[in-house]
Amino acid sequence: MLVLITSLFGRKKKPAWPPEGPIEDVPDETLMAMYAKGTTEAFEVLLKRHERGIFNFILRSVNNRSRAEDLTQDVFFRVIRSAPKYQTSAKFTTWLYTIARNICIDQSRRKAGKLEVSADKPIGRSDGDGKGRTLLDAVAAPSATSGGVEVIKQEFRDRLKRALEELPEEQREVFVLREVSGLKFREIADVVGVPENTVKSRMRYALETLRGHMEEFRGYSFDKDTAAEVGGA
Amino acid sequence: MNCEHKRQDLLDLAYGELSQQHTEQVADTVHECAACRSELERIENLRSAFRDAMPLEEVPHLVSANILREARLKAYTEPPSVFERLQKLLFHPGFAAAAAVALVLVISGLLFQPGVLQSPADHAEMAAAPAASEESFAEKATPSGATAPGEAQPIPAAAPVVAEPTPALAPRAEVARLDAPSDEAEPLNDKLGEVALRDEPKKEADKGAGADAENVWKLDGKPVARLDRKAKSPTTLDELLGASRGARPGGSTPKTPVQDPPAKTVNDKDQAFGGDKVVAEKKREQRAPEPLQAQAVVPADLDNLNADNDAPEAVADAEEAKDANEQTVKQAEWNPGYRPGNPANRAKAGSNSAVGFGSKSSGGLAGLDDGRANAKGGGSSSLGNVYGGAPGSGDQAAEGAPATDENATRKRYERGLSRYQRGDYGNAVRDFDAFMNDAPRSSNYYALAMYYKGRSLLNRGNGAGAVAAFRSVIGEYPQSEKRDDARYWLAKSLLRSDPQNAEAQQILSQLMSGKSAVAGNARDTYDRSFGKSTGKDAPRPTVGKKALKRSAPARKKNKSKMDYYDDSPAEKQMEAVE
Repeated sequence: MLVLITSLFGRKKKPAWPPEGPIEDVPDETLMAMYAKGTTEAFEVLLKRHERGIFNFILRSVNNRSRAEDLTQDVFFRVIRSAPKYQTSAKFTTWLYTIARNICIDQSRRKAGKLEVSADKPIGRSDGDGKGRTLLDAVAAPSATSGGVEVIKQEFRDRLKRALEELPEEQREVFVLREVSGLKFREIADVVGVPENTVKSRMRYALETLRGHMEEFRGYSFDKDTAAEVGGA
Repeated sequence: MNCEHKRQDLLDLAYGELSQQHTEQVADTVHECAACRSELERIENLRSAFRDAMPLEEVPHLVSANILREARLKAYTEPPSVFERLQKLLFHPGFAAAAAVALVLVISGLLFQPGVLQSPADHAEMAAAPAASEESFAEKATPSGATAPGEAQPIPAAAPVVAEPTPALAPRAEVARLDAPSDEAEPLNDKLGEVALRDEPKKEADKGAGADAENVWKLDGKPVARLDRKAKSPTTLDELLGASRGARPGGSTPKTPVQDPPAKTVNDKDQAFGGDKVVAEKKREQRAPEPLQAQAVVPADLDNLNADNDAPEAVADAEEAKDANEQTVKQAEWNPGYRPGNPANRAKAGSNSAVGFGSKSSGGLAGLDDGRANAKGGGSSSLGNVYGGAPGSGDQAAEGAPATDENATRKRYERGLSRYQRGDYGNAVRDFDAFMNDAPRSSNYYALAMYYKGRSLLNRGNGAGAVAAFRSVIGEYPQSEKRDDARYWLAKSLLRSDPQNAEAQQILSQLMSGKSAVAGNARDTYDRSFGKSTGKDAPRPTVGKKALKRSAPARKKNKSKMDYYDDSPAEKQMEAVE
């Protein structure tokens, strides 16, 4: 009878325990298993590794800092609650960003239509004032000083942010996951649930779209040392 | 190389996701193609501009702190799920051991349960041949037919009745008792009142029906004995006890859960003649002797009062039973009709339960042969006639009474007086009755005892008994110092039943003329009951004015002080005696 019970409720393979070397070098999966056993230090290491990427990913996704903070907490709270159920066979990074992505999707659904951007939307600002207006028009003198570089840089940042917001959701999330969170295309494919080539295609489309938004800034360098040189040229 | 294919590699090359070997190949191709080189440069410029324009922001410290706090909290308080707990329990070594032990116990219990291993055919065979199945325990537990008629269960040497061989067999005996037909049970002996017979209500109806089932007697919820009701010998517990005692040298009764029967037991004749009712009646008389009625002349109210006998008093009286044998000598002197062979007197002297003052029969209520009843006039119902009779014989007997008997009798009176003063009127009445039952009427305390008995009865609300007692004092002891007090309280007793009683009015009017405390009390009572007395002409009491002015509640509260008026002569007498 005991053999039958053992066969029915066979134990899963335990992670290596205790981990060898410093805890900072321990893989994410092992750290998660350690936390599931009650080692809070392991979770601290995990938090240090991923909290910045998760927060920026959510921040670029929802474009709201306070909401991003709340959603970041929600993501890690869900990780904490799901720690006993976590299986070390799954990659922790993929699992963590899947949770974050789902939370962002839920949030975007609550804010229906806010992040939905059509691919046919014309590039550039839609308002009439900004339609034909160039960055050079906004800057008083082409011989940009250091203060002028800062203005141009702020304008470039705003334009890039708006361009990122106007990206299609599937392109934006791939771009953010790759540029902000540092996930590989393969990992992004796992998180998003699409083939890796699809991820790369979405990445190329996203880059081309952003490049079109940034066409006005071609030839400008935001390096202070070269700003005057570029502006003088 | 296809340019489209190179674009795929350019992206991997820009993000560094190509292998080292593949990176060198793609780098060589891009170096040869100007378009690919320009595309790679644009990607790198855009990434660089994005990183510069939108650097990664730091997570607020509060967010990190909240997350860590939640992590620490949940790390120790998160309860495991039901499945996890079940899994942990199932894989615990202790659970496996406990399960194995429980399995073994269950299997062993099923296997070794009596009668389980035997098939129904075996039971049928045993029922068909009961004589051949005496050695089996299961056969012993068989309700009927298993034991041959006339054969009792083996009697252990330590038990006078049939007991189970081992305590472990008791549950089986209980099963047998439950299985036995209820209409076959019948009582065996009066002492079996200690033993619970389950089918007692039906025993009378089944009397003489030749019950053949087993009876299991239970003591404190445990079956202690079992008898074959079909057995002809022995049929009663007495016989069983006799057989058991006879088997032992000396015939001493062993210490068993079932106590020995009392000295006077119910024999077979009682059972056969009167049935269980007779047995129960005799048993009741033997175990709980009723309080004794010493005074044959006391009305029925006093009987009821004496029925209030309680256990502590019985214990106190039991102490006096030690002197019962000594009192018998005095009884012969005080009671001319006393005969040692009198059953009532014999019971009085020999039984501890029949304390000192006899049972109803000892009081001579029936006027049969008790000397006291004869001396008092043959059990007349009139107090005056009884106590008015010539007590010459008693006086003559009292003359030869020893001083020690006088002291013992006096102690009884003192105890009754003490109880009266404490307010224990019920026991005081009993003490006074006991005293008067033994003391000669010529005793100095006889009138006092009668008087305080009346006072006690009146305080208990027994007005009729009090009237009788006071009348006896007045009529029998005209020279008693308590005569006027008795008259006063007689009037008070009469007024309780009839507030306008003419006799009470006459008594009070007679008492009012004096100057004693009793006269003052009589006037006060007369004024309250019949209106203002003659007033100016009437003499007022010179003693106890303060007491008379007390309010009624104060008089009740300070009853002992109020007794000063009535009890002062007695108190003086008591002091003189002591």
